[in-house]
Amino acid sequence: MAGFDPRLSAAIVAGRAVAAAVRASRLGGGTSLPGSVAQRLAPTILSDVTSALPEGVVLVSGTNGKTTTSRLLSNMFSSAHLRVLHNRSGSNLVRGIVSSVVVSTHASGRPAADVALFETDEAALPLVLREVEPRVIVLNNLFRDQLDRYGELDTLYRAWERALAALGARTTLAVNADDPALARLAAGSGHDVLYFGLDAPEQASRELPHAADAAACASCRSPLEYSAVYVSHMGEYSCPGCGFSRPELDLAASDIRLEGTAATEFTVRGSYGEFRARLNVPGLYNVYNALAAIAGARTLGLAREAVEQGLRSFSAAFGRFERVRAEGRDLVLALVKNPVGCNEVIRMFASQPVPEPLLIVINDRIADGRDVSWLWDADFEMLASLPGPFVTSGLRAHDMALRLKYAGVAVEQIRAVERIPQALHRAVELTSPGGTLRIMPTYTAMLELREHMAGLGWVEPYWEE
Amino acid sequence: MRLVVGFLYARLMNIYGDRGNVVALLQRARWRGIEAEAVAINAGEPLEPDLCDLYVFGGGQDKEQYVVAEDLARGNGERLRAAVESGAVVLSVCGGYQLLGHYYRPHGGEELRGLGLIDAHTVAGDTRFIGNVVLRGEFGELVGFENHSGRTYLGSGARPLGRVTKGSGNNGEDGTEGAVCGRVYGTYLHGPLLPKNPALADALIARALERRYGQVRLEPLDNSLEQMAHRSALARPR
Repeated sequence: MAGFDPRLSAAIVAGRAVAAAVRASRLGGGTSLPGSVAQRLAPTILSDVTSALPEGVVLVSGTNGKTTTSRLLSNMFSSAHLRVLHNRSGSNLVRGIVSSVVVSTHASGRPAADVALFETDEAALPLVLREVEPRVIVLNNLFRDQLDRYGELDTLYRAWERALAALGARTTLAVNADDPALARLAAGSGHDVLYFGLDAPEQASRELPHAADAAACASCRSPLEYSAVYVSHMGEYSCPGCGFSRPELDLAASDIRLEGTAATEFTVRGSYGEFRARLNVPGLYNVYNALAAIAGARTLGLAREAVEQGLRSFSAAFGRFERVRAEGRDLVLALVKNPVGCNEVIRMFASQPVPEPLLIVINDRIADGRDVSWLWDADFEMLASLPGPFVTSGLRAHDMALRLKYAGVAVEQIRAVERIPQALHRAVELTSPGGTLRIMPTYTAMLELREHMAGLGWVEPYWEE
Repeated sequence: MRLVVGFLYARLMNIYGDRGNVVALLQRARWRGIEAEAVAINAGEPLEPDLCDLYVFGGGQDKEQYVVAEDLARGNGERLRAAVESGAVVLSVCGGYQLLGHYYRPHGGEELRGLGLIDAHTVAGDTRFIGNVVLRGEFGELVGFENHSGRTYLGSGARPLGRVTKGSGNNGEDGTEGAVCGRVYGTYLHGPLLPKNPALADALIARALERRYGQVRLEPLDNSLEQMAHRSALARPR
């Protein structure tokens, strides 16, 4: 910043006042309003503020995995002791991004962060690129099935192509090379590109799944030939028409070990040397998300330690007092997996002696721990003073019911419902409208709950997070 | 009536929720109107042989087991023996079970002398037995979870608690699980053992009360939740 800009300052002050008013009124859904107001007062606010960031701006876009990738990157930045401006809870359209800027900027116009991380809607990307010159754009994938609302995939593809061509050469792209359309786009963009992808034949199939698209070459329209298919249309491919093939990988994940619904381990090779990473979220698609984040971190020159630390710490916050709004009730999910952590949750819930139910879901799969003895090391006695009712569920619903009985909970207040969806509905019914349902699941129980909630539209499925 | 439960080495030997056994004994006594309390006995504190009617001795890791073995050798072992001779009942699980046998022989390490209250000895194995266990014996069908590398072999003075129908039991060879030696019981079953096996819990309570009150008939309790938990444990894979 060259000097004090009274218009910018007024816009920030006004935007923050709006943000505070929205919070106080608990209207919700108001994450774009502060940005809207601020932008009206200072139309160039986004470029003014972001150009003053010492470490610049990172944009994360693509159809799926934006939130997970951004959160991973945010973790890595924090591990590198960088202050991050991140539109974490905000909308990922332009006004939501401006809102996140408004609340993280001093009234003087000086940003209270070192680096900005904007999760950006794929249709909004060209608009954001008019205002911001990012250091890195992380592009994970392009799916047609999510794009009905934007018209044809080709329209979006061309809009991206134009936006990247108009961008200064200082922006580096971190691109999923396994997505043929993205790889083609990056190769023709004139920007420096860091390609990431999988090198894991053991995880590959030879056939494209029915739901896959983009199987035609973006240059010559010939059907692509795949030697490995990983997720949807992503894999190792080549074009028999023009010879275009998957670019050489700068960052590759190999030796992938999927631990059911719990975790994933893989070896990262390439520009960071070689290391084994463990990610406490499931699925090959999350390996792509992790690679996207690692690639983003690499282009910004983060130390490998920060990257590893960021990956490791990712799951720690997963399910920790996460809130979900459903059927006019608030659901609070708090993962429990060992006596120490469980006691923290018990203590928190015991401090709210309201006549609302608790749902405790205990599985004994490998990721949960097969031995449920630990339930007797946790101090469920602290819950005995709560009015209840208590619904227990999961493969060990009856063990949990028994634990509550011996903790001193009246048997009439305990209902064991083994099947998780049924137990969830029962517990929601027992919660008064406007009330809060407290849920304590073990790890795989949490995944089952979330899957069921995603099916009901209460939460976003993982892939979209 | 009154029941005092001694929780032996509560701090060191409570690795797999074994305190649940203490909770089960106290609650099942109280639900019948029997006054019940627990006393923790830790290393360095002298055990009072007359105080407790029933002792619970859980499991710990190797390091803790050495500390406990030393404490037993410094006098608490003899006091526990005196308590048993005067009518007290002991339930020992895993590490506690091993320390009540004649000895525990680890890999290469120093042999740990046990109290010999159970006619059995234990030798370290090179693999762990981990998983759900079901056994049948004089207390009906018992369910639990085992996690041990020690192989325990019974002498002629001990009878098994039961024979495994799922899991490995004492040594993975002879099909036996646990031991009964007079008023001293041993087993590898965590879970914890007593909440899901109320018949055994009640048998221990009744025997412990005999010490002060002679033959006691315990009122029946509603065990429907216990039976449900027992049944769902039976249905879980090894």
